[in-house]
Amino acid sequence: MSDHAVAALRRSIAGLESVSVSLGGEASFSLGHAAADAALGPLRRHALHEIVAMAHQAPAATGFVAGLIARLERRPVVWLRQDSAGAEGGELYAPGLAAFGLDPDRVLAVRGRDPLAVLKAAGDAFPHGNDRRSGIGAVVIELEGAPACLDLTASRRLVLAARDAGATAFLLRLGSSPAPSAATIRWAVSAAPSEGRVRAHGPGRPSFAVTVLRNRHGATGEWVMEWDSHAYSFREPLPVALVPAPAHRPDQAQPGRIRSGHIADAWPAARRASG
Amino acid sequence: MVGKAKGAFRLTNLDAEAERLGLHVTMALADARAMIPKLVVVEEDRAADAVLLGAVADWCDRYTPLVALDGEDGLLLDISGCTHLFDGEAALGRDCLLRLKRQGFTLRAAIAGTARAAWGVARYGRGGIVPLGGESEALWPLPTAALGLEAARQHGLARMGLSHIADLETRPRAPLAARFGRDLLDRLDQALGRLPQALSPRRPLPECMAERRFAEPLAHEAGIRAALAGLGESLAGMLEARGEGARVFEASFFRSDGAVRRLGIETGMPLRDPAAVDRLFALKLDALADPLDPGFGFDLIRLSAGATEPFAADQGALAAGREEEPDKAAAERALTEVADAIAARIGPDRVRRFLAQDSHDPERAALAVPAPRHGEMARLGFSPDWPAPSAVPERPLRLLSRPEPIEVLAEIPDGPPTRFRWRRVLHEVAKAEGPERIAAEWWATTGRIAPTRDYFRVEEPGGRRFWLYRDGLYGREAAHPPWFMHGLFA
Repeated sequence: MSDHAVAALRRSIAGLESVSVSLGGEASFSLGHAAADAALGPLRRHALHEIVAMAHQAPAATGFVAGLIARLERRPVVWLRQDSAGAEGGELYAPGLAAFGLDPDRVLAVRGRDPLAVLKAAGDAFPHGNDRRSGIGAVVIELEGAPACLDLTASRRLVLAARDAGATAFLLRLGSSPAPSAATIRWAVSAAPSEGRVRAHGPGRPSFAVTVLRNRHGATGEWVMEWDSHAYSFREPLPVALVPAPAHRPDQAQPGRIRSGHIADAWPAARRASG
Repeated sequence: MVGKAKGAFRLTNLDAEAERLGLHVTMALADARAMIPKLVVVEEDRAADAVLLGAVADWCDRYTPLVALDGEDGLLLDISGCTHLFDGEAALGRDCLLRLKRQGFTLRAAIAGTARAAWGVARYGRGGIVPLGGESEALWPLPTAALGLEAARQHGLARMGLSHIADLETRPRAPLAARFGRDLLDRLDQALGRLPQALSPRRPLPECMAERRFAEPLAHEAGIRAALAGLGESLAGMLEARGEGARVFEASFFRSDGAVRRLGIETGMPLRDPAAVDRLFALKLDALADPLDPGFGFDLIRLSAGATEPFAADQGALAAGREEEPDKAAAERALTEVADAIAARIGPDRVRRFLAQDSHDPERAALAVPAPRHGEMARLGFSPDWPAPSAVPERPLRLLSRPEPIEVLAEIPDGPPTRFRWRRVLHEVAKAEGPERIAAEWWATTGRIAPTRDYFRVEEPGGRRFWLYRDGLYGREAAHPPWFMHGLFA
């Protein structure tokens, strides 16, 4: 089977597992990270998730949001940014998104002249009468600093728009201190050192140090999470292998895992089901 | 009017009074002043003239969609098939002249069966209407310059005693062509309608359009919107009759004082539903930085459609072959709708979709194309699959639009860096993998071929991951190849 076919199968399995309909019709989702899921409880879709990060941690925050979307949503995504964002932190790079697990074909990249234009465009991005089965599934609003137009009212509006349109809103705030907002949950994200079991010397799976600063429906806490782009899942980093994986082997086969005794780890979905 | 030419101020344009006093174009300003001390002189501003001519051309759109610029001071209008709307060509000409004169222009116009004949009669004759088939009588008495010849050829003809067009017509053609070029006779033939002449219109011709004239200029916004909605419905009818939908719509508002304002929208899929068109124009009108200023009112509003395509009533249902297809088609429709709405508000260039390209060059591997053009470009070109998800992504999530130079310390010259300085901050390297060698695509570059790049993925102890490259092979392509930061991983 080709890489793409395998990816598609894994995708549909992950889709079945991660999203469950509960809480009076409003769907919720989980991260796949056992400890975090236990502490945080079911996470709300169709709500406002706020992600804060230092300016230099923008790539990590981008990755965390891309991971959340890849995990919970198959519908199209609108990603809104400011004009100035590209010069500082780089443009969204489609092959990178694809390698990360988020299909670039369903991403609409929008750039506004200033924060206000971004917020207005975000209003258009949640269409009225959005088709819940195939309409827009997620809207990312990426803003730098603390623009005056992003006040409590603006975030409240995003909450309502997300709920009415049946789409999840991600407010990505870079280089700003936490300010009051109506977000359901506030994440703080930075990069974490990757563990070296996939690659002998090079960087491993994308890893994040995630702190939940505020959570309306559960506890807060701090975790290190690793993104598994095959299972479309976050998870705990594995303990360092006794025998490092040979660097020249393709990563899909993951022979190092099996040899070092963590047989279940070779199939993360199975591990999640049992844990 | 005066301009600088050949090192001196010279007259470039005169009004009728000045001509009567014996001044002529190209005369030095000093000489003219000597003749008429009280001469009123204005310095010429070619850019402003061009803008004004453009505005007049826009205004002339009310008579025909085919308006071409002629040099710096003329306009050619192709009014074939438009005259009946104005009760004949005489009435159209009168209307046009009257309105332009009221705006303060001095002008001469001619209507003729061919563009070149009209040009000659307007510039070198007395203007007016040349009756059908009367081109030769009208042109014969005119000087050869009326064919639009350059000065050198005109002098050449004059030296041979050929000063009028009639002289050319009565001479044998072959010697003339041999001496003055085939082009001379072509021009003559074009003027007399024996050869076709192509006009290059200023604006692309719309596929179909609907317009409405108002006896009483329309100034209220509600009225304008209602008129636009009505035009949308008639346009939808025309498109339906053709079995097509359009991807480009343009509304032109002709103000009674001559100003023309145009608003355009572009859509990702062919469209003809009047309600949808109306909604997009409403978004566009709401988002205008400088609102539509009706002044004393609009006396003509036109809605035109371009880029028409065959319109399938429900493309989603037709494309549904595989099980996942309907889902995909619906998602595509949702994306297009949202993209059109946002594009109408903030402009099509700000709303982009990604298109995979068949290239190893990281900068060429993906295009971000304006969303309204995405479908078209995806159909036209070959677009490969995106890379499959991999445990350790080999491409960064963010790519710097321009690689930034960094200072690098490496243990071995062609090995990975051990530490580097980027944007004034020193980064240690804890893990590194590479090189991934990417050579320039010689077939896609012109001139000097860019050096081979060796890309490394590196991680600093804190966990930030970067994509760096060395620009050039060590020792072979460059003695001390520079390093660049190109991308950022999650």
